[in-house]
Amino acid sequence: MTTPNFCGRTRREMLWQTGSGFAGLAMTAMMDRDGFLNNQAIAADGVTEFRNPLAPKEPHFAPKAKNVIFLYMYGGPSQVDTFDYKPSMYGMDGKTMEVKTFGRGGHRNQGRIVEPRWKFKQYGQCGKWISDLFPHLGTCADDIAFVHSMTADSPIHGSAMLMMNSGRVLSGHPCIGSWANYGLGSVNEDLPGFVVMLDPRGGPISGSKNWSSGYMPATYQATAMRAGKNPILDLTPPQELTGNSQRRLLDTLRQYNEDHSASRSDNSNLAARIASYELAYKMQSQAPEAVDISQETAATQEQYGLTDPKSEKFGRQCLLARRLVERGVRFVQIYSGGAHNDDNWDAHSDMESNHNLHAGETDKPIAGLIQDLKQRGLLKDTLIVWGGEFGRQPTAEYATGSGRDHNSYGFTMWMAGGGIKGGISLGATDEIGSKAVEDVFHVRHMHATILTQLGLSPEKLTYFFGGLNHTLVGVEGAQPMWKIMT
Amino acid sequence: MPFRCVPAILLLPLLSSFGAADEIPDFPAELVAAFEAEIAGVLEVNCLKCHSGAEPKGGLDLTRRAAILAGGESGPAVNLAKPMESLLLMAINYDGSKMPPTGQMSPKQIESLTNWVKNGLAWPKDLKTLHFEAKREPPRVNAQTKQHWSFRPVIKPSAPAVEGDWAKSDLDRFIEKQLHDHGLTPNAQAEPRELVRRAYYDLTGLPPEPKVVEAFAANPSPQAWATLIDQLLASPHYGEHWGRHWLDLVRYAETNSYERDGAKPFVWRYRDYVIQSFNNDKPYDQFVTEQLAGDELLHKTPDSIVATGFYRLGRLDDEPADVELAYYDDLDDIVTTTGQTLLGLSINCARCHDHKIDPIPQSDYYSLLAFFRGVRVRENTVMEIVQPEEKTLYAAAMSRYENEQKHVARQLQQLEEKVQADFVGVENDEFAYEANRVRLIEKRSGGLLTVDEVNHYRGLTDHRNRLRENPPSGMAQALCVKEDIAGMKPTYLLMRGNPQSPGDEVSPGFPSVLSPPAPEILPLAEGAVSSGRRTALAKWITSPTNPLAARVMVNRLWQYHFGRGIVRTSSDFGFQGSKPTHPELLDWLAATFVEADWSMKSMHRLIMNSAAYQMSSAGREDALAKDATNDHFWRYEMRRLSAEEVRDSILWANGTLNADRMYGPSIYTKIPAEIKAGQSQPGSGWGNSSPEDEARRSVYVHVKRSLLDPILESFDMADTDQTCPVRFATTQPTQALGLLNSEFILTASAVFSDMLQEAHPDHLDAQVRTALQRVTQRPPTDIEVARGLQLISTLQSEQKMTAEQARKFFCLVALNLNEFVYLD
Repeated sequence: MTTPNFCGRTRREMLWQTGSGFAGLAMTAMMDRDGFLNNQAIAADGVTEFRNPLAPKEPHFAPKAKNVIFLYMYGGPSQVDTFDYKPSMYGMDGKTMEVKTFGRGGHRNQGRIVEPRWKFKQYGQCGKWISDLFPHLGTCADDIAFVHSMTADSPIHGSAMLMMNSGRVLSGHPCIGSWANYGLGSVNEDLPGFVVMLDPRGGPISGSKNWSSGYMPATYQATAMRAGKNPILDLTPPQELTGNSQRRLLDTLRQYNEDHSASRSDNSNLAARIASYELAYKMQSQAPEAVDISQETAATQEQYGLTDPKSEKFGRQCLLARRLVERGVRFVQIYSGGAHNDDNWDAHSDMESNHNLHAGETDKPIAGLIQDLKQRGLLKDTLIVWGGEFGRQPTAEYATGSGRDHNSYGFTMWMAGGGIKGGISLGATDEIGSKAVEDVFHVRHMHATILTQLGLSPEKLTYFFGGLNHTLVGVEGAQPMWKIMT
Repeated sequence: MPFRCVPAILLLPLLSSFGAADEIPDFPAELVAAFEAEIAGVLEVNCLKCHSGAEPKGGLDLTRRAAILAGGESGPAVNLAKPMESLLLMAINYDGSKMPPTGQMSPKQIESLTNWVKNGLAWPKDLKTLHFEAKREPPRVNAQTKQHWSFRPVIKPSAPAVEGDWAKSDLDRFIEKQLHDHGLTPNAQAEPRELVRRAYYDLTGLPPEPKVVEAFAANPSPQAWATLIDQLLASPHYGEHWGRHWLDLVRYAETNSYERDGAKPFVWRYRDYVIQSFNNDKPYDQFVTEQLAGDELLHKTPDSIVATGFYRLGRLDDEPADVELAYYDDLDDIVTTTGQTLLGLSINCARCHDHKIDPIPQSDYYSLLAFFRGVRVRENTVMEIVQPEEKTLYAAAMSRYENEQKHVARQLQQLEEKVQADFVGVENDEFAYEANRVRLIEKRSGGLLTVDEVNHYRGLTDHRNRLRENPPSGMAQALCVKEDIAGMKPTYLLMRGNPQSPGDEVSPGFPSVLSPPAPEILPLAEGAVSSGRRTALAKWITSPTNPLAARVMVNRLWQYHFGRGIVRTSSDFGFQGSKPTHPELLDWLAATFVEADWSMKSMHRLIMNSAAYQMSSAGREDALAKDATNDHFWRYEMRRLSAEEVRDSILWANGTLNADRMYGPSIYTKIPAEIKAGQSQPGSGWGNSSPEDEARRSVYVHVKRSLLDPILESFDMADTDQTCPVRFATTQPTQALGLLNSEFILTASAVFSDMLQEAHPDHLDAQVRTALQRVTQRPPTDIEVARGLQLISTLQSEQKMTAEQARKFFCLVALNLNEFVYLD
């Protein structure tokens, strides 16, 4: 079956069968996209028609980026200690100031300034001021667009994480990687389209809600991937199945299933299920190959910081991310930081030990990723996003110590590659970085930017659920951040 | 406030000036071309959504050149004499007012508009108004919209006359008539074995034992069929299966989501209540009334209190950034669930503005919300539901119980005291949440505390949690609704859904398009702890004259039997929903349902004894050509097993399903470490169950919002956060991987293999035969048996497997068959 038609059936029936048992309306938006119907892949066996829900779909307009790597700095990095240079704060340490803040400690009207704990210096042609936390990343400044005026709806991890990933503070909405896969599908059906890599110290607060597909089918949720022999849950056949034995099992299964389908040929779900086993079989060999970084040269491994135990884990994940986007994985999200408090960027007690640790783990790998992608000509197609769910306050959280509380009134994120201008900075916070005051952006604008670079119109990418056409950017809508886009 | 809507009267002088300025001057062709190629598009995408139509925002209409020059409330939008000072250009440059409010448009678009203004606002001579497909005005409540099919009263139609003897009942006559009108004929009756399997899964979610199948196959009479249905309806497993359908609709989950994703106390009682209600054939009107207002009943019972757990099943952010908004979000969750589940209306779409598709004004949303205004939505409220009969014995048990709790608490505290001084900053705040304590203690393992002490702390924590869920018998607590009537505030319409912008006050009321009566809210009695509002709501919803409640519920019953509802969008009976494919049948069923005192079992009997239900699912070329989507029900639809059915059937096939044990606190399956690694505290909130408990039916598996069993999740279990009217049935390679390689399936296959060996020691042919029969519920053909034997022998000879291994992998194949997971 190679002709991409409806096999004599109506569009509605197609719709019914692809999502069989599912009322249908929800998929209408997707089904109306011509690309979906023109891209019915032929399954691995070369015979069976398999309508992979992740089959590639046409974007709304020419994309600037094909893939996204979202480097998620879980816990909330401090802007004034990283990329948002506040020279006037130096010398102010310990001074009490009137400043409105809102974090886990509640609303406050004044606080004790914590002077940035690192020095800044200028990098690149653009002369960007970057703190000493990022000596390697600094060298990439000319490839990066910094947005210093991000805001979010919540300064509390649970809801803020959901906001950054799904655009809503309410649990139950699809994440941006799910939207990307729903809108575009994935070009490599042997690998998942949306991959998440977690910090070895643990997952983020709210766990799998951060990569869930919410009210969309589970097809669009992220697959957790790890380096090593068993990169995906249940990917590896049991050891007893040596040699050809799994193939024997699958051949036998197929014979049973084909007999069963013979008198039910009008039910394409049965054929799809047969094909899904062949696809799973192929994934078993393709996925380990994709994560096998021993294929990389020593120089490349060094570039990602794999030779230094401090940066080795995150470096491995960055290198893996490159290998995945090379193979067509649409959306990769890597978490720097896991579990609670100082296991991630959530520096409530001591800025120095916390940020030295997490920047130290990620600085070289991220720089290596940008350089390596650039070198291979992949950076122009790969959109890199860096940031956490919020930033941190200019003032101290407790009576003593340098720890800072959460801050969603203003924080920094940056993007690079995939149609993003390099060497520029957009927006500003006030003199002490307490809130965004210029070119103020919301998480929605960041999401709109990512979707637009992928060739998707943020307001046209809709999913019908519960009586509403939902979008990632919500009923308010959002323009992308045009000023950082090429 | 330049962009606020202005009263119409202010606009009059502006409007009157249009005539004079309406003349469009001549512009050079290239400027006109640029307008058509670029400007019109930029305006359309960025501006016209608000600045067009009869009431443009701020009085500014950007669809006519003259109107742009005339401007709106803030003055002319364009100043041709000093173009760069035009308000329009200032706004798009975010200088002063900021337009569009969604964010600045692209530099290229800004440049185009700037040039356009600078060049005199070029406009095609013959273009009076820039065409803009304005969003339809929301439909109003009026005589016409009240005539929408689902808003009209249900009037029982009489069944059409049909010829022949296919129809077994009136139900069939509706189906047959429609088939006939479309030149179709119904499929033949399904094979007896298919029918038994269909009926078993349909009513209990479990497969039949081979002997049951063979007995029916030997005597497939209508009487035998009717008896079978009765037996299945009497089975306790019926409630487990149909209760699960209801749990989908009420977004049943047992935790709160968010950072701590804490367990809801005694939430399982609600699940048990639902199962028991189905098993007891509780009339649907009573079932609904108990859930909405079981605490306000004159004769309230422990059951009716437990039923109000309905209000407490949703997500609950225990640390919201905006407390006021969170309160309304939680009320919205209840309005959404009530509207969609009980009325088939997406009333929730009218929270911020009038419903855009249905005739539901925003005031109707808040009038419905007013019924729930007193509900304490921000906490998981509990209540004692059973008082002990034997007071002295109970008092003694209670005192022992409390002492034990105190003892455990003291021990916990002693260990905590050893480390509390060590806490820095945020750790003190975190300690306030019990969920964090084990982690804070574990951090001190080998330091301030020995490894043993930390283990002891962990054990004590488990013990404390178990004690809480298991108070002495005689007394029981339940998660339930509670109101705060002392603090009850008026309800206001919130402008744009914003709690900070209250509009007019509203009182409790039903959706106006349904021409409802005024709610009968009785005055508060002495000592009342709730407002009585929810009783009024329940009374109206369950009134026999309510046009939606019965239609919506019979449609759901039909959907779960036939794979799709007569209305495919089973939670949306509004303008946007699909139309019923059999409107008269739907009304006939709805009326019959009410006549039968809302008995669900009587509807199952009616439906399952019909010829329509018993049709074969086979495809027929002539019928497929005319009606490929089966709109007219010429056949029964094949369906894939649900997530719970897949897991239960695997355990059933290998004989380990512990189906006899019902009810009680939920159980934990073995979730792989890889999945737990995604939690911020891996393993937190997920315990271990005994092997017997672990083998219980899936309806008893703990539903933790942020940690789902991968087998259930990949086979499309219901969304845990929102009402789920129809399950997905996806096909994806991750399902195949899970059913080939997971520890769960490999263990199940090994057990299956042992079971076969025990049943037919060293009799391979019989083992293969039994295995296939246990997954397909029919005797296998000789070819199928030979194929299994061949696999076993190949694996032994070619791959050097032991007989035991080879049999295990044959079992794995059996558990992966399409026929196993699909029903005819």
